[in-house]
Order: sequence, then structure tokens, then C-alpha cells
Amino acid sequence: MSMRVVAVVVSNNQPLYLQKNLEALEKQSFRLERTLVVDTSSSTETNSILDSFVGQSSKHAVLAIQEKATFAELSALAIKQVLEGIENLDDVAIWLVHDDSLPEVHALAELVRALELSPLVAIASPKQLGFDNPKMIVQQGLTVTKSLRPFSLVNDELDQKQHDWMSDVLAVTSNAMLIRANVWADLGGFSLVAPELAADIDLGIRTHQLGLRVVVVPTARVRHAELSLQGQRGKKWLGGSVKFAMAKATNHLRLAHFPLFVSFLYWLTLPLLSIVQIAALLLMKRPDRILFTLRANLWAFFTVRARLRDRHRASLKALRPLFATTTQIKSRSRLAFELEEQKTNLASFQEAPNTRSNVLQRSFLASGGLWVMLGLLVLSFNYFPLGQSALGGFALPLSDTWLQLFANTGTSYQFVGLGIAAPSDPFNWVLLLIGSLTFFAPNLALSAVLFAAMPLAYFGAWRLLSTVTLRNSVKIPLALIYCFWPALTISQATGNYPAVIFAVTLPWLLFALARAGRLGIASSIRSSAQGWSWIAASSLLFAVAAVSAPSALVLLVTIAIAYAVLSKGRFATTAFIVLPAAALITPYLIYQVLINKTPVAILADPTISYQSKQQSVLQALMGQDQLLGWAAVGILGLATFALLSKAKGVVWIWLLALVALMNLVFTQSISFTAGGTGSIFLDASSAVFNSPTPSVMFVSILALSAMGIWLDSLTRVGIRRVIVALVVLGGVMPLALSSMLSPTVVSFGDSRNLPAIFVAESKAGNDLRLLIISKQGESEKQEFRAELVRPSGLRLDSISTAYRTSSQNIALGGEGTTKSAVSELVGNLVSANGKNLLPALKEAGIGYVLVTNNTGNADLAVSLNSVTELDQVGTTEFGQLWRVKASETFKVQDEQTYWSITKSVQLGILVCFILLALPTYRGRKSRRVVQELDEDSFQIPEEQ
Amino acid sequence: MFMRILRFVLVAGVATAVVVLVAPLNLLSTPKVESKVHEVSAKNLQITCTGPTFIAGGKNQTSVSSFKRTGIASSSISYSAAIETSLKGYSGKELEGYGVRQDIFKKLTKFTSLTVLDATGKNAQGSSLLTVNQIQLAKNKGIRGLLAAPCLRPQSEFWLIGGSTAIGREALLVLTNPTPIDSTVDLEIFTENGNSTSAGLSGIAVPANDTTVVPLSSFVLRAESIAVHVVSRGGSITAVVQQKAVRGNSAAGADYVAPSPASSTRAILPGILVRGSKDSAEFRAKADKYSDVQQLLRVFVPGTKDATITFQVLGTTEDTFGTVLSVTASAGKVTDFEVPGLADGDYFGILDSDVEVFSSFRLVRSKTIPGAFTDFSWINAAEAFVNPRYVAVPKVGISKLSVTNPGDKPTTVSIRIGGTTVKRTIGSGATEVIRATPGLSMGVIPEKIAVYANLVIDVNGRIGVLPLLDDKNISGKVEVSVH
Repeated sequence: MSMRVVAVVVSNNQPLYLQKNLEALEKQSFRLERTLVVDTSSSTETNSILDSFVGQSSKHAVLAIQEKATFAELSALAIKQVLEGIENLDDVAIWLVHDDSLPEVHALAELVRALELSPLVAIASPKQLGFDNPKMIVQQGLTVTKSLRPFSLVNDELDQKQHDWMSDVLAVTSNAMLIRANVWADLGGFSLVAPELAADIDLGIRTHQLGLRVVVVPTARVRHAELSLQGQRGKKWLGGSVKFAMAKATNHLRLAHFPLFVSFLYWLTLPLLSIVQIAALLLMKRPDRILFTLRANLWAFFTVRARLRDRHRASLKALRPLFATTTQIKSRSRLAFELEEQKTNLASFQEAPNTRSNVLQRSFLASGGLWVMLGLLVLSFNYFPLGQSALGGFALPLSDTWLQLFANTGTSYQFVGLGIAAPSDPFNWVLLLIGSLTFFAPNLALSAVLFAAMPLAYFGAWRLLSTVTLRNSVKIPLALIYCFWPALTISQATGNYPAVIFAVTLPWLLFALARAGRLGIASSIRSSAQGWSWIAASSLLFAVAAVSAPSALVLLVTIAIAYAVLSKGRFATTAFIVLPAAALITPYLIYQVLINKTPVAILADPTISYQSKQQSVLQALMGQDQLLGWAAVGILGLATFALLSKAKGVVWIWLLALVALMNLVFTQSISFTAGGTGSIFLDASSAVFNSPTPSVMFVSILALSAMGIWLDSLTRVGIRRVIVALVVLGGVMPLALSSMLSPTVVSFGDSRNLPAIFVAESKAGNDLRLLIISKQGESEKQEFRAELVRPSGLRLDSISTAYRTSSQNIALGGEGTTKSAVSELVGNLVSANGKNLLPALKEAGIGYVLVTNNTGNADLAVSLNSVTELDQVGTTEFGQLWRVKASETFKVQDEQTYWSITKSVQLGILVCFILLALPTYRGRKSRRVVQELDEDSFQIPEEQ
Repeated sequence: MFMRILRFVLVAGVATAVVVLVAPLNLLSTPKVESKVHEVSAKNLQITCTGPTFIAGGKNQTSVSSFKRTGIASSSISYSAAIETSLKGYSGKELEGYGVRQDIFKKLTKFTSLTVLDATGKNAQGSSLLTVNQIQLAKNKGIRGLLAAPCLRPQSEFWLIGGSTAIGREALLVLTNPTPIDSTVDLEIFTENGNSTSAGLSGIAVPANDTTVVPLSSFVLRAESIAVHVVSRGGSITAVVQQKAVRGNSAAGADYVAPSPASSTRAILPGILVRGSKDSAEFRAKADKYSDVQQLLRVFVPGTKDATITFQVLGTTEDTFGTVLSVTASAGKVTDFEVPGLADGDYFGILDSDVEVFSSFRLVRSKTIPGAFTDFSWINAAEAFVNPRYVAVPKVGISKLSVTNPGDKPTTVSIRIGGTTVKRTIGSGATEVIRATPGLSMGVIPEKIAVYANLVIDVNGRIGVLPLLDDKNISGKVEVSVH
């Protein structure tokens, strides 16, 4: 009995393809019984083609359907229509053809032959070839992975008949699929609830479950444009983008075909799974897939009932042999990676500037970088963290526990001083990051920052300079000058963590930007994964720099704009780079601008208000050692000669340096509120100024980069050697000497910076506060300063610039406020006038009173000795301490929360960027796997 | 090439201009922390007098473990008697104030505290409310000389610059605790050899309402030059050093070393009234035991950097010529500089140093015949003041007030003696010496410019110098900033 075939063409607004498709059907060597075109088009061009088609033969028909119908619905309707009137379906087959396909003349005949040869074959599918390039196989059979992810067995491979042995597969694409009409009737066609890309596989699975076969017939060849998969049809066709459709298909197959319990568990854990998937995608450097994966998971989660409707009782176990093997999956992954790498390399090759082949490029290690870093560590012996934390100058210890450090970060209510509802300093995120390195003792890592600052700054500067020169003779001295620059060494000596961290971060940031933007020499990217890594690294470094030195915000924004321009308008990437910094700063910015109404406070350094003087540009450049500091100025002067060179970019670099100089003048023209918490032990001053270090280090790294470009471009070796010698003798040596002569203000020791008894009681769970009082101003005046310290103590992470500049700290508290009450309490305490102070002490929750050792406090101590509510505890290293009698009856509750919505968002963004920045070894690993596979394939089996 | 030179000139020029010429301005600022002013009432003002002198105990007055008081000291009290105040401690019952200043005198046989009880707590404290001093002309065989000291407000920290434990010299640290709380005292003793590390310097007990006498020789034996830093914990105390000289077998000269003001780079020492300079020279020439009968400047440099000092001794009249010392004092040590060549006359001293120092001046008085004696007094650097200060004047002897204006502009001070006020103009860098009326307290009322003053007391040729202190507890307008 010979087969009768009816064809159904599904058409959707592709008149050009449709025309060719219909012509190809007419030319088929196997005669079609009927041909029905089901059309959802609305164009006149298609209509005229179809009119002409119908007019050609009485066997031709057209079914016009509304566009919103799905492929499954269209095919169901069309097949129903085409089979109308045919009574016996046993010898009838349906050929379902997409309008963007072009069957070769014998395609149908080959397919029919396959069905005729074996009655068990229910579906036969041709080899799908490229529409424009028929030498490429675009698809040949479908299957799924063990986790039921759709998998195309052959994908974009040159047709060398290497897959012509294939026969049985799990499923086939619906295009040019020949299916027995009775099987179609038994199966009920495509599932109406399955997403487009799952419907084919679902049909295949169900066919197998009937005990029938699904085969590909390589001798049947059909060219297929795959417009849907190429994204060239409207998004409605697939219900979204291709990637989204694929993710939906995966979720559908899992919910419909996993065992019921597993399926339920999968649905239940979809939210959690989404997080894992995001993390995995970030690690795989595929952030572009995150959005549709999330959408697909949400879709599956909320449409689970529809997925369950597709469930069938039969198990998939029997079909396992038809699933994709691990080898196939790895091989496909490797091929995709190599394809991507080829594309990236090609792009890099086209974009990268010429590199000099006459200069040997040496790695950091090969250029003795490790030894130089070791030497710098030796020179930093003063900062070796002999104790748990650094104290003195700007330096305060971090909270003793990681949890407290975490609680103080990104918080929206801060338990500092009198308490304030404001975001904590964005710099706390950097402190959290550093503290997390030694989470068991957060102070340890922070102390090590001062010790490692110079080597890390050197390493960063070396890497940055490697983008402008390959010559080690240039890179090493210039990088050394950067790490010995007076502004950095002074910040190091005074324990100014934000300034030190900024100075160390800056060259790394510029280097990462250069890599991300493929700027500079020797700056190639081997894969998009690597590109994503550098972009994410740039983002994180940008955030670290921005929160460490708000005074350099203008400069950082300038750098971001310059990056966008230099990297050929990558504005989206630039926005991506700025995102983490914006996420960390925005809440603080909103507070200062809209709530505190002190926009200029955004630029305040995130440290304690350590006494500082306004500095001129010259003073800031030279540092405190005026004699040796001239070397720094001299180097800058020498760097201006770079402008005489032909080298590109020098002018722009110097213009940026000028902007940095102007920024230095601007930021030194702003005085900030002194005081706040944590600075009562320091000499009082009414105003403080920002550290000039960020702007100065900006100038220095830019000037050194310009000098690097200039020296690299010098063609006369002799001149270059003379200048390098000058740099070493006049720059490196005096600045190194200057750094060694800088008096160290910080010292290392215990992290305790308050009287031991108060700390011990705080650790024991006592929430009582410590009132610190100190006399200030002229000796004739009776002016006192008081600070209320919470049990968490005076810690760097509890210092709040928002609090320092807030009206809570600055303005006089109104009657009845805590501030007013504490102020009056202090007045009565210092005068020891015999008033009953217990109610005020109780109200403020004060358990201890400390009078600092500052000059002029002797009288204060005498007064407090006369206060009947106080018992003298004794003299501590921080001053004289009194305990409030009966304070054990005071009840204070400061319950600090660990989470807030803002904090969660900030943390989420940071974690995502960290995952994205982490380098992965996917490429290397895949390469190894393929190599192993290749080796295996050439092994000759031993003869038995 | 031209373009490259042009861009070099432009960029380098702008960079140089920014570095050299542009100075930061005061463009923007965030607000300063405001201080709240509180009107607070003060603790009652309490002044404590050390009481009579101490001599070594035992049968032969040689025991160094026990000391006993000898003689009777006379205290001079100047009490404003402000309305709604009363003076406690003068006698068995409180002396009610009725608005007229009272000069009161009281014999002291032990340490005594005088307290002004202020019912309102609003009366301004200081010397205008109450000032007390004590003198004692010791004539015991073990101690001879005029010992004068201000009575002090109990405090927790004192610097005492003076005294010696050389052969024949005795320095006793008299610690008085007038409070009901026991006190523990830590000492730091500096000598010409630096800081003493002797055992027992810490934890000296001064019981409540008691006096503890500490012989400094037990810590620094045979030290020519001494400076003592006293820090107490617990109850507040007063501290003075009782210094005496025994030349051969007879005592000759004694005084109290009163607490010194804080260290400074400039010190003014009024009241160097030199008399009997020839007799002093005669004594010095006679025997080694009189070698210290010489005017002397004592300096203690508390820091770690040596002090370069210029000390000018200036005459108060055209007829007196002073002298100038340009010396260096070692850091952490006490250094004495003799000031020779001062003829009889009235002088004052101005000390300038490049680092902060403590300083005092030893003034000697001698008479060879008849009734030969020699005595000394330690003059502390005076405190600057622009607000009125009072000093009680003893009923006995001749008292002279020496008021110095070290500024570069002349100033006028009003001197109030009893109900009378006189005005004196003091030239720039000059001193006025005003004779006091015995038994009538003096008020010095400057006019905006700060002046310095000491009261020099001469009883039968023996000398004592008292500072004009302004003891007060914290009160009135107190500014508090809470962070």
C-alpha cells in the first residue's frame, strides 16, 4: 500500500520565502495529495501569492487564521482541515512545512520511503540545511539532556555526511516533519500548553511512548532559514526572545516529564534555583541570560497548572539512550566557546593598536616584580601588624566581630552618638570587604592594609604602566615613584585608611578600565567572559575608589566619561561600570541632598575629623618633608616634557591631570564640620579639611603614565637611559628616603580604645553608654565637649559622616530632646553643683563617665569627684573614669538590625558584580576535555 | 613640532600656575557644631590652708618617718561677704555675708578649710569671693624663716617647681585631703638628673580629712634641683613643698613652694624685690654653706626637646638695672641658672622659651649684722588675668604688690584697698610696685589688657611671695557641645 501525503504549510508574513517554498513543493518528486497553506499574514503580497497558488490547482487550499494563534493551534486546525474527507488515515501522512524552508526535490520521497520501510516509524524528518548555505547542517534531530534541557544533536556544522548514519532520535523539528496521520490523530497533535520550542520534543516523547519511532532521514534534505530561532520573526511567534523561549521550554519539559515528586520539588525550589542560576550565569560570565532565565522561572512558577496538564504517566527511563550524552554536551559547549573566542579575537585584533614586536614583553614575575614587592614590604616594616589593630592618627579599629561590622554597613539607622536615621558611610562596604578577608578577626586584615599598601600600589602602577610601555626599565622606576609618592606615605603614616585604599585602588582601576575598553598596548581580551570579568572588576574598583575618596568623585566621573569616549562610545558599559558605585552612594547622596540639605557634605572624607590644615597645591604635592618633597614636584615637571613627544594620548592625559589639580584646589577650599563621633580624644578644632591624597595621587599616576608613554616613544636609547637615570636618582631615591623618614603616627596593639571595664561590660551584654567629656577652647572659657559612646564603641565602621554633618550633631537640641538633656547633664556634671543627676543619667542610659587626658581637664576631674551620683573607678590610659551609681537598674535597648531593603539591594548588586568579576577557567577546561576526546577518537581498539 | 611646543608651553604653564600661584579659598563649608550655653550653679567654693610648718619628729627632730607641726600659722582671709552667702570654717558658726568685703585673720594650728556656702549658687566665684593665704614666721631651732603660701582649692593635679634635698636642705611634700573621700597620690619627681624612678612614688595614701607629709629626700637624695608632679585619685587634695635650709647647725631660711601654673613658652615673674644683696654676697663669700644665698632661676622642661631660654630681669625704675640670661635647659630635667649681679632694687622677670617650660625664681634676702639672717622665697610664674583679682594682705610686716604689664601697650589698673580705689598706669613691659596697707585686702582690676601680679611680704626682713590666684569652681555660663 502506497503512502498518500498531504502537506500543510504554516505561513507567517514571509512572502519571499513562501513563494520559493510553494514552488519547491510543486517540484517534489513525490506527488502530494493535497496542500493546505495556513496563513496568519496580513500583507497583500502574501495574499496575492496565495491567490495565485490556489488558482494553480484544485488540490491547493488556503486557510487564513488570526495572527495570535500559536503554531500548535495553527497546525492542529490546518491538519484537521486538510484531512477532512479522508476516511482511512492509515496510509496517509502529513507533511508539516514551515514557510521559511525549501525542500529539495526528493526530500518528501525519501521521507515517505522511511515511513514505508518501517511501520514503526511514525515521524520522519529530513536533514535541515542552511537556507543560504546548504553545505551547513543547521539541525538534524532533537533530544534533551539528562536535566531535560532541549538539545539539538547537530548544530551549524559543515555537512560532510558525518551525521548520515543517524536514524532514531528523541524528537525532530516540526519543519518538514512527515508524520503518519493516524499517529497524529492518536497523539492529538502538538501540545497546546507547551511553549513553541518544547512542543516538538513533547510530540517526539509522546510518539515514543506509543511504542513508535522518530527518525531523521539524512538523504532527505531541506533548506531551512530558521527565522524563529534567528529572531527574525516577531517575538509573538515564540512568545518572547529565542533565549526566553528556550528557557521556557526547559522549564516546561521538566515540570511535564520529570517524575511527579521531582517535578513538584523543582517547582517549589524554583525561586531558590533562580538565585543559584543567576550566580552560575555570573560565574559563567553570561549576565545577558539572567533576565530571561528569571522571566522563564517566574512564568513556570505561576503557570504550573498548565505544565501539569501535559504530564503523562509513562516514564522517560526507556528513552534515556536517546538523550544527549555528556560527551555531546561538552563537545557542543566547547565548540560554542571556540566560536565565540574566534569572534572576540577577531574583534580585538581589529580594535587593538599596533604592538611593538622589537620589545620583549615580560610578565610581572619575570621582571622581578615579586622581589621588588618583597623589598617594599621590608621598607614598610613600621607598619607590620604586630598588634591586632592600628591606632593613632586617623586610624580606629574595626568592630571586633564580623557580624557587628556587617550590622554597621549599609544600615539605615545608626546607633552612633545620639542616633540617626541616615545611611552609614558607603566606605563601610570597603571595610566590610576587607574585614571579611579575616572574618574571625576583621581588624587583622585592615591592619595589614597599611603594611601591604606600598607593594600593592607598586603592583597596580606596574600593571597600569604595562598598558603604555613594555619596557621594564621604564615601568619599574615609575611604579616605584608612585608607591613612594609623599601623599601616599603620609596617609599611610597617619593611618588614613580611605586615602591609602584609594591610592592603592587607583592604578588598578585605570588598568582594569584599559583592559575592559581594550585600550593601550598588550591589552587583548581572549573571550567575552574575560571581557565581562574586566568590566565587573572595573565596576568594583570604581566603587571602591568612589566610596574611599568622595573628594575625587568629580575626577572619577571625568574618567568614566573619558572611558566612554575612548572605548568608542561604550556608554552602556560605562553605565554598567558606574552601577555598583551608584548603588552604594545613592542612599547617602539622597540623605545629604534631600534630607540633610547639605550637598557639599557628599565630598567629605569618610574618616574621623582628624585635625587637618588647608593645603596649597605645592604643599600637597610635596608632603610634609619639604626638602625631599621637591623630588615629587621635579618628577611632575619632567613629566610635562612628555607633551613634546609625538606619542598619542599624552595631551589628554595631561589635561586630565590638570583637572585633578583643579579638583585639589576646589576640595581644599571646602571646610567640613569637625567633631562627630570618634574624635573627642583628638585636639578639638572647629573645622577640618579633606585629605589632598586622592587628587594628588590622580595627578601623579596620570603624569607617570604620560612619562611612560614619552619614554617608550623615544627612539634614541641613550636619551631614554639618561632620563631613566635622572628619574631614579632624582625621584625614586629621594622619595624612598622621604617615605622612610616620615614619622609614623599609628601604632599597633589591642583593638580596645575605651576603658577596659566599659568594654568588658559591653561585651557581657550591658547596653549602658559611656559619656566622654573634655574641656575645649581657651583655658579662660568654660567650654566643654561631650560625646555619647554606645556599647559598640568607637570603631571605624561606626563613624558616620552623615551624623557628623547632620543637624542632629550640629544644631542645638530643642527642649525635651535627648541632646538637650545630655547637654544640661554635662553642664551640671562639670559644675558639680549638687543637683540630682540620676534621672538625667538614667534617661540617657549613661553607665560611665570618662574625662579625657586632654590639657585643662584637671578641674573637670575635681568636679566629677564631687558628684555624689558617681563613683570614681580610677585612671585609665584614656582618662579618668567614673561609674554611675545604681546604673545597673538602668534599662537601655539598642537593637541593631542586620538587614534593610536598601542594604539587601546594595549587597545583591555587589555580590553579582563580584561573581561576574571572578575569573573562571571554563575555556581552559573545555579545551582540555576536547583534547582528551580527540585523543580518544584516534585510539585504535585492541583486537580481541 | 610647533604644535607640540605650543601644547607643552600651554599645559606646563597652566600646571605651573596652578601649583605655584593658586591658593585654596574658603569657598564652601558645612556648618560647625553649635554649643549650648547653660547657666549652672557652682559647687561651694572651698579653700584649704596647709596649716603650720612641719618638723621632723622624734626626740632630736631627726626622725624621717614622723613629722609634727610646730608653731602657729596666720591666715589672712578676704571674703566678699556677698549677700546670701556665708563663710564656713572661720569659727564655730557660719559668718553670714551682708554685702561688705571683710578681711579676717585666723590662727591656724592644723590644716583648715574655709567654704563659702552659696544658697543661690549664682554668685561669681574666684578671688573676688574668697581668697586666703597663710604666713608663718618660723623661729624654731629646726626651721627659721618666713613661710608664705596661698591657701588652695583642692584639685587633682599640681606642679611644684622648687625645693632641694642637698646637704642641709629639707623638702617636705605636704599633701592635704580636706574631702571626705580618701585619696591616692602618684608622684613624678624630676631633678637635675631627670625623672626619678625610685620605688614608692605611686599609691601614696592621703586619708580623708588628713594630711600626709612625704620627705622628698626619700625619693631623690641630695638633689639640688627638684620639680614635683602630683596627681591624685579619689578625693581632691592640696599640695605644697615645705623647703628649709639648715646651714651648719642652725636653720636659716624656709618657704613653701606653691603650685605652679601650667607650662608655657612665656612666663612673667613679678615681685623680684632684691634687698641686702651685699649681705648675701658677704654670706656667700664667707662659707660654702651659704653658696645658695643667690638669686636663681629654676626651669623644668617637660617635653623631649631642649629649651632655648631667654630670661630678662628688668628693673621697675630707671635706677635699677637688670640682667639677661640666654641659656639652654635640657629636656626632662630640672636646671638651675644663677642670676648674679642684681643690686638692691625692684625687678620683674620675663622668660621666653622655644618650648613650653615650668619656671620659678628663688629670691633671697640676707642681713649680716645685727641679727644676721638669711631667708628665701620661691616665686612662681604669675597667672595672667583681665578680670579683677583680690589678695588678702597680712596684718604684719610690709607687703608690696608687684603688678607687671608685659604687653606692648601701656595699661591702667585700678587698685582697690578697702573702700578706696586708686588707678595706676603701667607702661608697656613695665611693673608697678604698690605698697599694701597691712590687714586690708587689695583688689587689682585691669582694663582689658592682661596683667600679672605677686604679693611680696617682708616680715622683719624675712621674705615671702604670694601669687594672686583666682580659685573658682566651674559655674555660670558653661558651653556644652554634645556629639
